[in-house]
Amino acid sequence: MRRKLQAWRCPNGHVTLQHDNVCVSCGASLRELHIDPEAVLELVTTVRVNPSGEPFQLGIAVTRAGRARTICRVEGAVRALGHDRVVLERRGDMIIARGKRS
Amino acid sequence: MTRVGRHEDDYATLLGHAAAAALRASNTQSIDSVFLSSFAPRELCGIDDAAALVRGVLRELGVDGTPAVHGPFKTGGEALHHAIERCHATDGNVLVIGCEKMMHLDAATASGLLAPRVSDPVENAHGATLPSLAALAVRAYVDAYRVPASAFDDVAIKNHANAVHNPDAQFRRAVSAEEVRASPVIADPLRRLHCAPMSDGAAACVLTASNAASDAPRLTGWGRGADAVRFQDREHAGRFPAATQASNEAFTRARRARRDIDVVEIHDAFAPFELMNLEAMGFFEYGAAWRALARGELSPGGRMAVNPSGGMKARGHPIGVCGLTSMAEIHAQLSGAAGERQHAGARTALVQSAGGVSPDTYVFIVEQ
Repeated sequence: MRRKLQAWRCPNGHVTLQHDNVCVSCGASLRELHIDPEAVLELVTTVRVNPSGEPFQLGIAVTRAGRARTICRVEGAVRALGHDRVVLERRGDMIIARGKRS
Repeated sequence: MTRVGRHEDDYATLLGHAAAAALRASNTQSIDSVFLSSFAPRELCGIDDAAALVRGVLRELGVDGTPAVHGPFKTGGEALHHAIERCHATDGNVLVIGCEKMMHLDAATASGLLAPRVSDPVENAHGATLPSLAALAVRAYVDAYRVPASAFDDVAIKNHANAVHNPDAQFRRAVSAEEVRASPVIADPLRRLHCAPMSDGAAACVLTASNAASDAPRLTGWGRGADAVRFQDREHAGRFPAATQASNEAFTRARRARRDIDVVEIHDAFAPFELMNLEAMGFFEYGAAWRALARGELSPGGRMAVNPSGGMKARGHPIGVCGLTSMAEIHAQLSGAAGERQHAGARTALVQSAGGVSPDTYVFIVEQ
């Protein structure tokens, strides 16, 4: 069984994967929940010059449950066409988007 | 302003050069308040109290009294915006001064030092840098409007061609499409020659509410716009609504229309941003600016000169100073003093100053 993803939702239905004090869309208070980790990778770039010296892929993904948009590190095979299906997971402070084809 | 590029002078000396030039040009030693713009003096130069440094510089220059120093603000536009309001409120002389010194550091070190200043903690945790967030914005723009990648090369080519005629520019060198395409990828689709460099530089101007200097250009409109700080929270990743908001406010205040503008100096820290900002500010429909660029309409002598200084791309990019270096170019253009890059008949101009991937944007309309 796939692990659910920790998220937060406000009374107005905005869902976020970041534990902010209030909802960034409407300012309402947030309540914790767990959502399905399936998402669509909307944007991705390969960051070749960065302080770590190692290239990595950075993206923006949107969860299918609740339409939460999040920045993420992308791992595994993606076609980077704006509609890759990915599965999100947490690794420390990062959200990892893993390509479903990997 | 000082020349943009590598300077051996320290931060305080650069500040002093810019302040002295501005005081000389305005023919005054009487300053009521000072607004300082400098993006990261602590991170880049270890300066904890940049405002105190400014006070010391002004004392050495013989400025009357002890004017209050506000800031440092992150962009020249932010400092200018506050300075205009102060100028109108007090009817006094306000010095706006910007300084940045970055070129003693290598790019990766500077990028690491600047990261906490350009993105929020969530983005930092993911290793996001300014070019990587810009690349995501450009990807969204290309996906939405099908702008060809060659259009971004054309922006870099145009701005480098403009900078050839600018004695204060960092890169007085034309570049070819082949050179742009051969430059290394920073964060795809952005290549090195699409990105503004690190630069040292300083610039300053004196604002006065009176008509004493009646032959000087007049600031007739100004506006500010804001967007979500965190890139993921933006409604449309490939648009800059802050630029729309700021320009609408500025045009309304100036009682001017887009068609009145002869010269524009805008945010092109990444070459595609020039097109994205022109469209966001209502000069073109979304996805249409590149066609005007390809027809040569955005060069000096064309329909509207865009970044005749070379822009951040080629004039250089001392981050917190850019709104002021842009203002210096507009002053030259409106005074007919821009030499070979002069846009003939320039009477009305627009300056845009933005930080990072444009969460905050300031727009100014200047008239002769």
